[in-house]
Amino acid sequence: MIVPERIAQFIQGPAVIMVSTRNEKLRPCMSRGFGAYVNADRASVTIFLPTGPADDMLADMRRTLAVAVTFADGISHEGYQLKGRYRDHRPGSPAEEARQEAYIAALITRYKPYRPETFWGGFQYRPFSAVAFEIDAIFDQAPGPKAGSPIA
Amino acid sequence: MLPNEIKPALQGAIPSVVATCSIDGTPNATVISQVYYVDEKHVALSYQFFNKTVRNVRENPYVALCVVDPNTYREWYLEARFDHSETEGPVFDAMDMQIEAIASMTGMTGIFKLKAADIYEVLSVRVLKNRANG
Repeated sequence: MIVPERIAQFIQGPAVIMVSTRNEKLRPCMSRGFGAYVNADRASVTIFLPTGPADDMLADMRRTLAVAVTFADGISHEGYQLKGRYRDHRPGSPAEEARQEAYIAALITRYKPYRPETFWGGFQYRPFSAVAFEIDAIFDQAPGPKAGSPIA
Repeated sequence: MLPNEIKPALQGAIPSVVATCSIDGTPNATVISQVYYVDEKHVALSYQFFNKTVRNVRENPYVALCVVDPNTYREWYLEARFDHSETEGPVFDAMDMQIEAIASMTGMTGIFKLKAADIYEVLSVRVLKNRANG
Protein backbone atom coordinates (compact mmCIF):
# COMPACT_ATOMS: atom_id res chain seq x y z
CA MET A 1 0.00 0.00 0.00
CA ILE A 2 1.24 3.50 -0.85
CA VAL A 3 1.29 5.91 2.08
CA PRO A 4 -0.73 9.05 1.22
CA GLU A 5 1.25 12.29 1.35
CA ARG A 6 -0.69 13.84 4.22
CA ILE A 7 -0.16 10.72 6.34
CA ALA A 8 3.52 10.60 5.37
CA GLN A 9 3.89 14.13 6.68
CA PHE A 10 2.10 13.23 9.89
CA ILE A 11 4.31 10.17 10.42
CA GLN A 12 7.42 12.28 9.94
CA GLY A 13 6.20 14.97 12.32
CA PRO A 14 6.05 15.07 16.13
CA ALA A 15 3.65 12.15 16.54
CA VAL A 16 3.89 9.84 19.52
CA ILE A 17 4.88 6.41 18.21
CA MET A 18 3.79 3.12 19.77
CA VAL A 19 4.86 -0.15 18.15
CA SER A 20 3.11 -3.45 18.75
CA THR A 21 4.05 -7.01 17.91
CA ARG A 22 3.07 -10.47 19.15
CA ASN A 23 4.84 -13.74 19.83
CA GLU A 24 4.06 -17.25 18.54
CA LYS A 25 1.44 -17.66 21.29
CA LEU A 26 -0.35 -14.48 20.13
CA ARG A 27 0.71 -12.56 23.26
CA PRO A 28 1.04 -8.86 22.40
CA CYS A 29 4.12 -6.79 23.16
CA MET A 30 4.77 -3.08 22.69
CA SER A 31 7.36 -0.37 22.94
CA ARG A 32 7.82 3.27 22.06
CA GLY A 33 9.44 4.24 18.80
CA PHE A 34 11.52 7.42 18.55
CA GLY A 35 11.33 8.67 14.99
CA ALA A 36 10.12 7.33 11.66
CA TYR A 37 10.15 8.10 7.97
CA VAL A 38 8.45 6.88 4.84
CA ASN A 39 10.90 5.22 2.48
CA ALA A 40 11.42 6.26 -1.14
CA ASP A 41 9.16 3.44 -2.37
CA ARG A 42 6.35 5.01 -0.27
CA ALA A 43 5.15 1.48 0.49
CA SER A 44 7.36 0.94 3.50
CA VAL A 45 8.27 2.84 6.64
CA THR A 46 11.39 2.85 8.79
CA ILE A 47 10.97 3.29 12.54
CA PHE A 48 13.62 3.82 15.20
CA LEU A 49 13.47 1.34 18.07
CA PRO A 50 15.75 1.77 21.10
CA THR A 51 18.23 -1.02 21.72
CA GLY A 52 17.41 -2.67 25.04
CA PRO A 53 13.82 -1.56 25.75
CA ALA A 54 12.60 -2.82 22.37
CA ASP A 55 14.71 -5.99 22.10
CA ASP A 56 11.89 -8.42 22.94
CA MET A 57 9.63 -6.74 20.43
CA LEU A 58 12.25 -6.83 17.72
CA ALA A 59 12.72 -10.55 18.36
CA ASP A 60 8.94 -11.05 18.00
CA MET A 61 8.95 -9.10 14.78
CA ARG A 62 11.74 -11.17 13.26
CA ARG A 63 9.98 -14.43 14.12
CA THR A 64 6.38 -13.56 13.21
CA LEU A 65 6.86 -10.58 10.83
CA ALA A 66 3.65 -9.00 12.19
CA VAL A 67 3.90 -5.34 13.22
CA ALA A 68 1.47 -2.52 13.97
CA VAL A 69 2.58 1.06 14.56
CA THR A 70 0.35 3.80 15.93
CA PHE A 71 1.21 7.44 15.31
CA ALA A 72 -0.83 9.82 17.45
CA ASP A 73 -0.97 13.51 18.26
CA GLY A 74 -2.10 13.99 21.84
CA ILE A 75 -3.21 17.57 21.24
CA SER A 76 -5.23 17.39 18.01
CA HIS A 77 -6.13 13.71 18.63
CA GLU A 78 -5.30 12.90 15.01
CA GLY A 79 -3.86 9.42 14.70
CA TYR A 80 -3.15 6.58 12.30
CA GLN A 81 -2.21 2.95 12.69
CA LEU A 82 -0.07 1.24 10.09
CA LYS A 83 -0.10 -2.53 9.90
CA GLY A 84 2.39 -4.55 7.97
CA ARG A 85 5.27 -6.97 7.77
CA TYR A 86 8.80 -6.68 9.11
CA ARG A 87 11.39 -6.42 6.32
CA ASP A 88 14.78 -5.79 7.92
CA HIS A 89 16.69 -3.86 10.55
CA ARG A 90 20.17 -2.43 11.07
CA PRO A 91 21.88 0.04 13.39
CA GLY A 92 20.75 3.64 12.91
CA SER A 93 22.99 5.66 10.58
CA PRO A 94 24.40 9.14 11.37
CA ALA A 95 21.76 10.66 9.07
CA GLU A 96 19.06 8.78 10.97
CA GLU A 97 20.53 9.95 14.28
CA ALA A 98 20.18 13.54 13.04
CA ARG A 99 16.60 12.81 11.98
CA GLN A 100 15.91 11.38 15.41
CA GLU A 101 17.33 14.45 17.17
CA ALA A 102 15.03 16.63 15.05
CA TYR A 103 12.10 14.39 15.99
CA ILE A 104 12.81 14.68 19.74
CA ALA A 105 13.20 18.46 19.42
CA ALA A 106 9.88 18.66 17.55
CA LEU A 107 8.15 16.58 20.24
CA ILE A 108 9.50 18.87 22.96
CA THR A 109 8.23 21.93 21.09
CA ARG A 110 4.85 20.39 20.27
CA TYR A 111 4.12 19.33 23.84
CA LYS A 112 5.78 22.25 25.60
CA PRO A 113 2.53 23.48 27.25
CA TYR A 114 1.85 19.98 28.61
CA ARG A 115 5.14 18.18 29.26
CA PRO A 116 8.53 19.42 30.47
CA GLU A 117 11.50 18.92 28.19
CA THR A 118 12.74 16.17 30.50
CA PHE A 119 9.72 14.02 29.66
CA TRP A 120 10.80 13.44 26.05
CA GLY A 121 14.50 14.04 26.55
CA GLY A 122 14.61 11.57 29.46
CA PHE A 123 13.83 8.52 27.38
CA GLN A 124 16.61 6.16 26.46
CA TYR A 125 16.30 6.34 22.69
CA ARG A 126 19.95 5.71 21.75
CA PRO A 127 21.40 3.48 20.46
CA PHE A 128 18.62 2.38 18.18
CA SER A 129 17.77 0.05 15.34
CA ALA A 130 16.26 1.35 12.11
CA VAL A 131 13.51 -1.17 11.41
CA ALA A 132 11.80 -1.24 8.01
CA PHE A 133 8.41 -2.74 7.44
CA GLU A 134 6.09 -3.06 4.43
CA ILE A 135 2.69 -1.40 4.78
CA ASP A 136 -0.38 -3.60 4.26
CA ALA A 137 -3.06 -1.27 5.62
CA ILE A 138 -3.59 2.09 7.32
CA PHE A 139 -6.38 2.85 9.78
CA ASP A 140 -7.78 6.07 11.21
CA GLN A 141 -7.06 6.20 14.95
CA ALA A 142 -8.72 9.48 15.93
CA PRO A 143 -10.88 8.80 19.00
CA GLY A 144 -14.56 8.22 18.29
CA PRO A 145 -16.87 5.79 16.56
CA LYS A 146 -14.87 5.94 13.31
CA ALA A 147 -11.62 4.88 14.97
CA GLY A 148 -10.31 1.85 13.15
CA SER A 149 -11.77 2.80 9.78
CA PRO A 150 -9.43 1.86 6.92
CA ILE A 151 -7.79 4.66 4.96
CA ALA A 152 -8.37 4.17 1.24
CA MET B 1 0.57 -7.76 42.42
CA LEU B 2 -0.09 -4.05 41.67
CA PRO B 3 2.08 -1.91 43.98
CA ASN B 4 0.80 1.30 45.52
CA GLU B 5 3.39 3.28 43.53
CA ILE B 6 1.54 2.51 40.30
CA LYS B 7 -1.68 4.24 41.36
CA PRO B 8 -0.78 7.73 40.06
CA ALA B 9 -0.25 6.16 36.62
CA LEU B 10 -3.79 4.79 36.71
CA GLN B 11 -5.63 8.08 37.09
CA GLY B 12 -5.82 9.06 33.44
CA ALA B 13 -3.58 12.14 33.67
CA ILE B 14 -1.47 10.90 30.75
CA PRO B 15 -3.05 8.68 28.07
CA SER B 16 -2.16 5.01 28.18
CA VAL B 17 -1.61 2.52 25.38
CA VAL B 18 -3.06 -0.96 25.02
CA ALA B 19 -1.70 -3.62 22.67
CA THR B 20 -3.84 -6.57 21.63
CA CYS B 21 -3.67 -9.31 19.02
CA SER B 22 -6.42 -10.77 16.87
CA ILE B 23 -6.87 -14.52 16.56
CA ASP B 24 -5.31 -14.39 13.08
CA GLY B 25 -2.13 -12.92 14.59
CA THR B 26 -2.45 -9.24 13.70
CA PRO B 27 -1.24 -6.95 16.50
CA ASN B 28 -2.99 -3.70 17.38
CA ALA B 29 -1.90 -0.70 19.48
CA THR B 30 -4.36 1.94 20.61
CA VAL B 31 -4.16 5.02 22.80
CA ILE B 32 -6.74 4.86 25.56
CA SER B 33 -7.87 7.51 27.98
CA GLN B 34 -8.16 5.39 31.07
CA VAL B 35 -6.75 2.34 32.81
CA TYR B 36 -8.55 2.12 36.15
CA TYR B 37 -7.21 0.53 39.35
CA VAL B 38 -9.79 -2.00 40.60
CA ASP B 39 -7.79 -3.90 43.21
CA GLU B 40 -4.28 -5.26 43.60
CA LYS B 41 -4.90 -7.96 40.99
CA HIS B 42 -7.24 -6.23 38.52
CA VAL B 43 -7.50 -3.16 36.32
CA ALA B 44 -10.38 -1.98 34.16
CA LEU B 45 -10.32 -0.53 30.67
CA SER B 46 -13.07 1.67 29.34
CA TYR B 47 -15.14 0.15 26.56
CA GLN B 48 -16.57 3.09 24.63
CA PHE B 49 -16.86 1.84 21.06
CA PHE B 50 -16.90 -1.64 19.56
CA ASN B 51 -13.44 -1.10 18.15
CA LYS B 52 -10.56 -3.39 17.22
CA THR B 53 -9.30 -3.59 20.81
CA VAL B 54 -12.67 -4.84 22.05
CA ARG B 55 -13.04 -7.30 19.18
CA ASN B 56 -9.51 -8.63 19.71
CA VAL B 57 -9.84 -9.28 23.43
CA ARG B 58 -13.09 -11.20 22.89
CA GLU B 59 -11.07 -13.49 20.56
CA ASN B 60 -7.73 -13.45 22.37
CA PRO B 61 -7.88 -12.15 25.96
CA TYR B 62 -4.24 -11.13 26.40
CA VAL B 63 -3.20 -7.46 26.42
CA ALA B 64 -0.09 -5.42 27.13
CA LEU B 65 -0.54 -2.01 28.73
CA CYS B 66 1.76 0.96 29.09
CA VAL B 67 0.82 3.57 31.71
CA VAL B 68 2.74 6.69 32.73
CA ASP B 69 3.15 8.23 36.18
CA PRO B 70 2.41 11.96 35.69
CA ASN B 71 4.71 12.94 38.56
CA THR B 72 7.84 10.87 37.94
CA TYR B 73 7.23 10.03 34.22
CA ARG B 74 8.13 6.44 34.99
CA GLU B 75 6.38 4.06 32.62
CA TRP B 76 4.83 0.86 33.86
CA TYR B 77 4.31 -2.17 31.65
CA LEU B 78 1.49 -4.56 32.49
CA GLU B 79 0.47 -7.87 30.96
CA ALA B 80 -3.15 -8.75 31.64
CA ARG B 81 -5.97 -11.07 30.60
CA PHE B 82 -9.56 -10.02 29.93
CA ASP B 83 -11.86 -11.44 32.59
CA HIS B 84 -15.33 -9.95 32.22
CA SER B 85 -17.31 -6.84 31.40
CA GLU B 86 -19.42 -4.74 33.80
CA THR B 87 -22.17 -2.32 32.74
CA GLU B 88 -23.18 -1.22 36.23
CA GLY B 89 -21.84 -1.13 39.75
CA PRO B 90 -19.20 0.87 41.61
CA VAL B 91 -16.34 0.32 39.15
CA PHE B 92 -18.52 1.29 36.19
CA ASP B 93 -19.85 4.37 37.99
CA ALA B 94 -16.39 5.54 39.06
CA MET B 95 -14.98 5.06 35.56
CA ASP B 96 -17.95 6.83 34.01
CA MET B 97 -17.36 9.85 36.23
CA GLN B 98 -13.62 9.84 35.58
CA ILE B 99 -14.04 9.53 31.84
CA GLU B 100 -16.36 12.50 31.74
CA ALA B 101 -13.71 14.51 33.56
CA ILE B 102 -11.03 13.34 31.09
CA ALA B 103 -13.30 14.19 28.15
CA SER B 104 -13.87 17.65 29.53
CA MET B 105 -10.13 18.25 30.02
CA THR B 106 -9.22 17.01 26.53
CA GLY B 107 -12.01 18.61 24.53
CA MET B 108 -13.69 15.26 23.86
CA THR B 109 -17.00 15.88 25.63
CA GLY B 110 -19.78 14.12 23.75
CA ILE B 111 -17.32 11.71 22.08
CA PHE B 112 -16.25 9.69 25.11
CA LYS B 113 -19.15 7.61 26.45
CA LEU B 114 -18.62 4.57 28.64
CA LYS B 115 -20.46 1.45 27.48
CA ALA B 116 -18.80 -0.97 29.86
CA ALA B 117 -15.91 -1.41 32.25
CA ASP B 118 -13.80 -4.30 30.95
CA ILE B 119 -12.11 -6.02 33.89
CA TYR B 120 -8.66 -7.56 33.39
CA GLU B 121 -6.63 -9.83 35.63
CA VAL B 122 -3.07 -8.51 35.91
CA LEU B 123 -0.52 -11.21 35.07
CA SER B 124 2.67 -9.19 35.46
CA VAL B 125 3.77 -5.64 36.16
CA ARG B 126 7.15 -3.91 35.93
CA VAL B 127 8.73 -0.50 35.55
CA LEU B 128 10.08 -0.02 32.04
CA LYS B 129 13.83 0.61 31.98
CA ASN B 130 13.48 3.07 29.13
CA ARG B 131 14.48 6.29 30.81
CA ALA B 132 17.97 7.63 31.19
CA ASN B 133 17.37 8.20 34.90
CA GLY B 134 16.16 4.62 35.35
